Amino acid sequence: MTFTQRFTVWLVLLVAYVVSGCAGYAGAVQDMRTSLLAGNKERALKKVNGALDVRNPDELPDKIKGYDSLLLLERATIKQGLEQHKSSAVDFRASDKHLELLDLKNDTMGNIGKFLFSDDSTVYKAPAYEKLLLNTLNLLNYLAQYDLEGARVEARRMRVMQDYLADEESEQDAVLGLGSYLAGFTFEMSGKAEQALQHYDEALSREGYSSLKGPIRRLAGCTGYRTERLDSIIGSLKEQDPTAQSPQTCQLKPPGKGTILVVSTVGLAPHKVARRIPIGAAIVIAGALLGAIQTAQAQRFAAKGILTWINFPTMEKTPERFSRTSTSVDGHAIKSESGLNVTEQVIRAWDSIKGTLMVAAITRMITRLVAGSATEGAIKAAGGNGIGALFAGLAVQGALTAADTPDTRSWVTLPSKIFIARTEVPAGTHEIKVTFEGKLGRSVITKTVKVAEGGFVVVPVASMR
Amino acid sequence: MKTLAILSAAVLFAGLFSSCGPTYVRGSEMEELDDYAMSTGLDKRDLEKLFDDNIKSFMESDIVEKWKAMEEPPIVSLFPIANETSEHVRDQLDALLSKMETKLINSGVATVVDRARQDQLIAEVKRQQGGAFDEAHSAQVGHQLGAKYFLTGKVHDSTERTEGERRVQYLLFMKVVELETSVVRWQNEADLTKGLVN
Repeated sequence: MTFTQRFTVWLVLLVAYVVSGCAGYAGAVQDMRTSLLAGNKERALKKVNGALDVRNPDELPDKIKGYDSLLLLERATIKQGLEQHKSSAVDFRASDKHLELLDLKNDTMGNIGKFLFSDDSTVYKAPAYEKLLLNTLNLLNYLAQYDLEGARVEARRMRVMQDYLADEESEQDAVLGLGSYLAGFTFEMSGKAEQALQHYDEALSREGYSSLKGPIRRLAGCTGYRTERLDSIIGSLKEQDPTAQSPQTCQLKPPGKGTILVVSTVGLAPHKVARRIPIGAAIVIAGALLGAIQTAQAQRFAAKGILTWINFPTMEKTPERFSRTSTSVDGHAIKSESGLNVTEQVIRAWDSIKGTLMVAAITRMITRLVAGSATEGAIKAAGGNGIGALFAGLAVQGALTAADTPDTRSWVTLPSKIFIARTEVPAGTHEIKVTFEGKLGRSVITKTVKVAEGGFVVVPVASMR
Repeated sequence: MKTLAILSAAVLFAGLFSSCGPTYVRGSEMEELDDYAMSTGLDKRDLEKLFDDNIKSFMESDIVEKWKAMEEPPIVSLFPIANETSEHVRDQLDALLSKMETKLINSGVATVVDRARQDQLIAEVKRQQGGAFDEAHSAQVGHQLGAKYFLTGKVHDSTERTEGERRVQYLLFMKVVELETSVVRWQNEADLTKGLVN
């Protein structure tokens, strides 16, 4: 082997080593997830701080890089689960700012690296549902602190994101029912009827929230804002109860009462796990997106027994300890309805992109095999030792394989399902009980809250398992 | 050829492994430090612009001329500038109001009420109103403090985002309201734009 040939081989090995991501994001958050599934949120917080390389749970990394923007989201969610709402809001804001920078960044080198080295090479571009859930969950933080101004800011940020997603992606992806519900609640409690109804109408376009009927009727008298959906709700309420107050009467708040809103969550969202997919199944997943030439190449290598599997992330559901919640106030059960099925959102988003990702994975595999063969061939052609050439080719191929870390990045501490329960109560002190139930057990959380007349209390409760 | 290869490797090593880490600096050591925009929020330079735009109009207004002519400077409350934007700029808006307060006090044209007492009353109103505090409540609190006027404001934004950039256009409205009559005695508008571009 000549000096130049040896140098080329070592250069490839070096670059492959530098870009190799070892266990990837899934490995980085494994301990954190395990702690959550064991019911230990405090330990999960310590683990994520370790991954962020900070000692203080409120500390931000000096420079947010690599997985940090995602890790900050994880930390924010865990803190919310621990009811550290002020600190959680800071983390959400830091992550929001950084994810926006990544979103707008031209990542030419990363996109090239995606087809040559690893799916992990690109900067993290959060999917639509993660962007909207960031604002939604942070809105919850501000409501839990009675900070209506902060909540309105988050609601407006969500609106900016919705407008952007509707233009750049799809109308379908641009609205999360729960986000619009909480935004509507924020403006309702702020005394802004028209904006409240706009958001409530949007929420109803995604889910049939029965708890919104009463507030919509009350607010309808305060503004002329109407849609077909709102008119239909107001009309149906009148049919059910002809003696009910006319919508011409403006009632910004329920007379003599305050509002309690309980937002409870169960489980953890599906997460990505690296798996070996047989090449036949991989080609099926890639489908029509894989070009004819690449399909032929892959099939040729498969026939020779050289290409048998692809290392690829799969989206796997997390076993749930609890699958539903029920809520009572002062011993009286209040209806708990589905706020958002996050698992469905995650799976749908994943199904829409996995074909494209599989094309990149197959392309990388073919590139590795070609690079290995080319190295071996070049060394032999130059008169090099046959065994040495073989090992050099295998070394190049092996290094590139090691560097190919499947992209397992996703927001893993998102809940699987979110439930909401809303009721109006006389001003004063009240006891709220939230029961988490599932095949593997039952858990009850009790809270005592004080509600002012015309006021509100928002109680987020998360099982995270 | 061999030398060239070694030099190339050295350059590559330097590029791959070099880490120019962040360093703390003082504003006095780095003159241009305040010039950089580091977010779409409001920084010191933005606050100075908004302050300058408003204070000039305010100090030249009829109401300030009237105050100067009074035997005793009137009592004025300063209420938090309402944030109606999509940016978390509460701290910066409070800083802007503090700048206005400092100017009022140092110019001697008005007596400013005790902020701690005012904040206490605002908190009480918020508690009674279930979390909300707005201009209607400003008058209520102002009366309790014995103020004759209050100075406040509101900031809105128009925010748009495309694939390549995000733009935030701030519009700040400041005003002085006479408590007894609810008449606006002075109002001014100031604007600025921040962006995140590729």
